[in-house]
Amino acid sequence: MFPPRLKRNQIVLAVFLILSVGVLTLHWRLGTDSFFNQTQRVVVGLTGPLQSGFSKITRPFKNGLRYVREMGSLRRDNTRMKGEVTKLREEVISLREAKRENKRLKQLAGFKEDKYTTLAARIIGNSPNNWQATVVIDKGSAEGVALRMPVVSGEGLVGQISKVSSHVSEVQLILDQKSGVGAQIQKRGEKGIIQGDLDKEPKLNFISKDSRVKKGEAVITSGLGGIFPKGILIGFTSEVKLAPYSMYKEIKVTPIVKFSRLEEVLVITNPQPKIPWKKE
Amino acid sequence: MSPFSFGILLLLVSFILDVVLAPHFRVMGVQPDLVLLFVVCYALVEDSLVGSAIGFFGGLLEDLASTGVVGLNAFTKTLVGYLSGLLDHRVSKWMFFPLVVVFIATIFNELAFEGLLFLLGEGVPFTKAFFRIVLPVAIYNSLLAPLVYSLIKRIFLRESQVPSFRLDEKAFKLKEK
Repeated sequence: MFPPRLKRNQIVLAVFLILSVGVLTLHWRLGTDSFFNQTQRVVVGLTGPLQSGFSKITRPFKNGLRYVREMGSLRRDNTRMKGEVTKLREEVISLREAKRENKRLKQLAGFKEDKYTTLAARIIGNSPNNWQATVVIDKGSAEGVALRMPVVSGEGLVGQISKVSSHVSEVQLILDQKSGVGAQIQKRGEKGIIQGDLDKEPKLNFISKDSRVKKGEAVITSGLGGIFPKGILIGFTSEVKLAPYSMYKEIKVTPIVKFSRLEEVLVITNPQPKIPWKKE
Repeated sequence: MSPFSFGILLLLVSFILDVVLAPHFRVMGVQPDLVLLFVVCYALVEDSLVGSAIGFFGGLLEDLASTGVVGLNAFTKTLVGYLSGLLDHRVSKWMFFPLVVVFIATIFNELAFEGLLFLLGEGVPFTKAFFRIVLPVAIYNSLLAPLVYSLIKRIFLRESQVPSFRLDEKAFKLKEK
């Protein structure tokens, strides 16, 4: 019925499709410690040095471009920031006093102070496809990085470690659609979950429709879930809507971290978390 | 060198470029899918047999370089490679041929990928995904298509000078057109 060549091609197509479905099913069923995950780690480990080398070459050009682009706004920012510095100095003095008082009271009440050890890492690569929001960093298990460790920057929360190789790791950003972070509105204490949404602005889910949350309120990690320590700044609410037929509000959050400009991050390698780190 | 092993060699190059270079050239939040671009263009120059094989291995490599489920890209790119290889070479002289084929192939690939994600329970809002990812990637890929297609065609014709029955036959057909 078919010319022999066409039939042969169809058989080959069927074989490859069956193989794909087989691999897909196996990986789906075997979970995180399967052969496929180990191979994924090896591939990340192999491509890491290439990404690192390329980002080293392009960094001076990128920095130069950024400098030229931002030159116009530097003077304006400088004037504005001078005014802010005066205000902040006064605030720092009162906060130092509050911190001392807080420490004294914690000691009196027998509270243990949370201290986090961090490891600085440089971003050497980005997500290899458009459906994931991840970055690759130049530190791995050899430097003490483990799966699910929280990653922050000087500004706020970045994400968590999603894959670890010996000298390279992958960080799942809070923008990733599979990412979920326990969060709370700082001012009101109302808790929800920050979830990625194929967007530059993740959603803050599970905030009751009766909440009085407004645009511009700070959102921090709630500490629930045992992965992220409490109190790390995530961002500010940028859109608050009442969804019809829903028990919850539709809230969008503008992350404090500018992910497109991110170059260095800190991995929190706290040795005594509430839930033990899952080791690969 | 056989068309398949030659294709695998070029596929590795496009995969490395996809992982190392493409993320630095994001426009509107998306980067081009260089592996898909290569699979489609190579299948157009070759046939559906080589297209499906190159598609499978290209997709598998992409899956292994990601955090997602292994097999998703392998499945969609096998199909795309096969279908692209079925296209008649006689229309390949049309100036916009690679551009249109790559545009349609990317839309097909991304929608198939989205469909599989949905079946695995990881579905994303369709309209949002279409306008944020599928359409921009299709435009980006198709803009690069004429360059990649002409490059592959040129390399392929040069490679076909090596004595090999299938390649000689192919080169003869291309020259004939």
